[in-house]
Amino acid sequence: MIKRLIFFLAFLVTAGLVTATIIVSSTYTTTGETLKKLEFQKERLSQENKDLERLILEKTSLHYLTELAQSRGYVPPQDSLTISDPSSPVALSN
Amino acid sequence: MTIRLQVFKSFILLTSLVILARLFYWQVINRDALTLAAESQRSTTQLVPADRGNIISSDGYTLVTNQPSYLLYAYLPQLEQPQLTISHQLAPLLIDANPTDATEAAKPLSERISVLESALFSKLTDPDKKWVALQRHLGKSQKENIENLNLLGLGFDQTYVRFYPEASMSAHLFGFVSHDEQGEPKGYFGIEGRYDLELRGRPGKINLDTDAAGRPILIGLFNINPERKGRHLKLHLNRSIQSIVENRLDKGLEKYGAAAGDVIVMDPFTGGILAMASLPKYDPRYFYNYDSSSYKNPVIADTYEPGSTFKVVTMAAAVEENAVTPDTICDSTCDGPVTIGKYTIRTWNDQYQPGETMQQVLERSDNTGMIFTAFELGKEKFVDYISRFGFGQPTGIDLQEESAPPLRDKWGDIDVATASFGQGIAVTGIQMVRAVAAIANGGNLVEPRVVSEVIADQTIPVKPTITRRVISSETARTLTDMMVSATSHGEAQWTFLKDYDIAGKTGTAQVAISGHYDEEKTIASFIGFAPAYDPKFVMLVKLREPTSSPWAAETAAPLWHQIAEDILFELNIPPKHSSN
Repeated sequence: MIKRLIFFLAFLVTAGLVTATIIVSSTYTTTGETLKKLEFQKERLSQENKDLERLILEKTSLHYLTELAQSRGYVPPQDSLTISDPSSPVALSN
Repeated sequence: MTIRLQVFKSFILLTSLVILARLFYWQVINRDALTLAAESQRSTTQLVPADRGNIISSDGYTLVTNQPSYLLYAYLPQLEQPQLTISHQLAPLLIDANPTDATEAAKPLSERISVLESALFSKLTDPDKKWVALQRHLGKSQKENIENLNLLGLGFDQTYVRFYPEASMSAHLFGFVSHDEQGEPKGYFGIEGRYDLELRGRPGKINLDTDAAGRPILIGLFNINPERKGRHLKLHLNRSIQSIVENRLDKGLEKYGAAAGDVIVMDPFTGGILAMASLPKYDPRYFYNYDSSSYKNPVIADTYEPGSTFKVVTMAAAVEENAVTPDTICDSTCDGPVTIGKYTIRTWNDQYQPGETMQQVLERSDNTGMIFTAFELGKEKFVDYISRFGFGQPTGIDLQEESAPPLRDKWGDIDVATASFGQGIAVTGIQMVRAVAAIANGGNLVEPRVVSEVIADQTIPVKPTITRRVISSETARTLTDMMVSATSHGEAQWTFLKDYDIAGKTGTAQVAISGHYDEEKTIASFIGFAPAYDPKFVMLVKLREPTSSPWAAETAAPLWHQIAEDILFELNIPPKHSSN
């Protein structure tokens, strides 16, 4: 009777360990897969971010803005009036 | 039965021994090789490229950064479609719509596509190769267009190239990035060359165990050696001033019919380079399409005879040594042409003003008056001051390929006489700017600097360096007055900005060719600073062989004033008599 009980317990422990090994291995495998996907996604987003940064740089460059302004009919100022060193605050001069 | 059992036992024993021997061989004798083979099967090393650092203008705008570039290749055994079809489909997508080469650009597009198609076909049908590179430097959109063709056997290798949002702004200043002998990216010329180590960074490595499908095994090996990204460089360069300078220089070259032109704008107090441009320029993105002689920055690498702009140096030395004052009257030297040995020296217009003052000598740019000044100062002191003003030695500017023409070893009277008005002495543009900056800032010779900060984990400022004091602040002030007067009363007075105090000097030097001066060809330059009594910048404008007029007063001077007017407006510096 005791021999059977020990055999049964040993079987249960072995079965439990095998099951645990399968579950853990399976989990690790799928986590590895998920990790790879996440890394790929991170790389893609980082690349997209850099593309957008470059686009912003292009659209804010003086070169681009000058061409855009010219195409819309803006011209550089031909004359300018400089107001400086007012003797009294302009708002109070009247 | 017993015999059969004995045989069976012996068989088992023998088999066990064989297995044991084999295991011993694998686990003991061949252990290292097998361990290595196993590790190579499951271990993967991933290289993490280090981004090259950016180059940033003083207002924080990125002037140079990185962008992906692709190499299109074909693995010939995998090609499914006929090579003729593939080359026919690829050629229109790979053709350069705007070739930099003028001969190529002149050809009709259809002809260029046809030539490219033939070239692709010959590569795809090469019997000696399995792998062929079809085209380099492809952009992202080109890659996507080719991918959409779904042609089996074609692939892409990704690399990074430099990206210039402001088009090819200041190519000579930036330099370019190519490859070294090991195929690693390396900067050449300009900032890219000088700061290559700071910009390039160090790639990282990740060692990890992967399964058969290449997925990481989380309980396995994972060693990470992080990459060190390249450091960013922040410049003194003002993007708006650089743009003004480039546009004005471009128009100036056309207007005055000059073969080449340079402009340098520098902060006289810090030595910070606010703008630097040279034309003709090259496109750093396609540097390989240009002759290598165009890579050098003329402002720091080309030498020229400065002509009359050098007179301010001679005069500063003489005033500092009390050899002359602005009111000193020239003796008989100024009465007519000066003869030294077998040489006769005349004024630029062959007119002579007996009894003129030093102030008038500078205003009229009188060569004979400068000979008087130099001889009053004395040969030894004159040569010493030339050296003290930084001529004959590199300025130390943080750009690659700076040259410094040496001063002559022996100085005869004729050498002193000609050097006093800037002939017979070779200088670089940056040396002239540095010398005049010493007058502008009160007497200190500063080291020109392009980079203001190196940005890594922390920001490291590049501090201004004063090399030495050359003249006293009093002498600097006197020279400033004389240069203001030279601008407002000199031969270029018609160009000057009436609402600002401008201190400047024109210079027209003949070009030395094969040991003699060419009568027709000149280098016209104007150097000065503004506002004269609170200078924000010192600027040199130099035009090579202008054809509209050989004189600086009619070419370089008006261009200088046009640029200065724009810069003063950009820097929000009010004129002297602004409205209240």
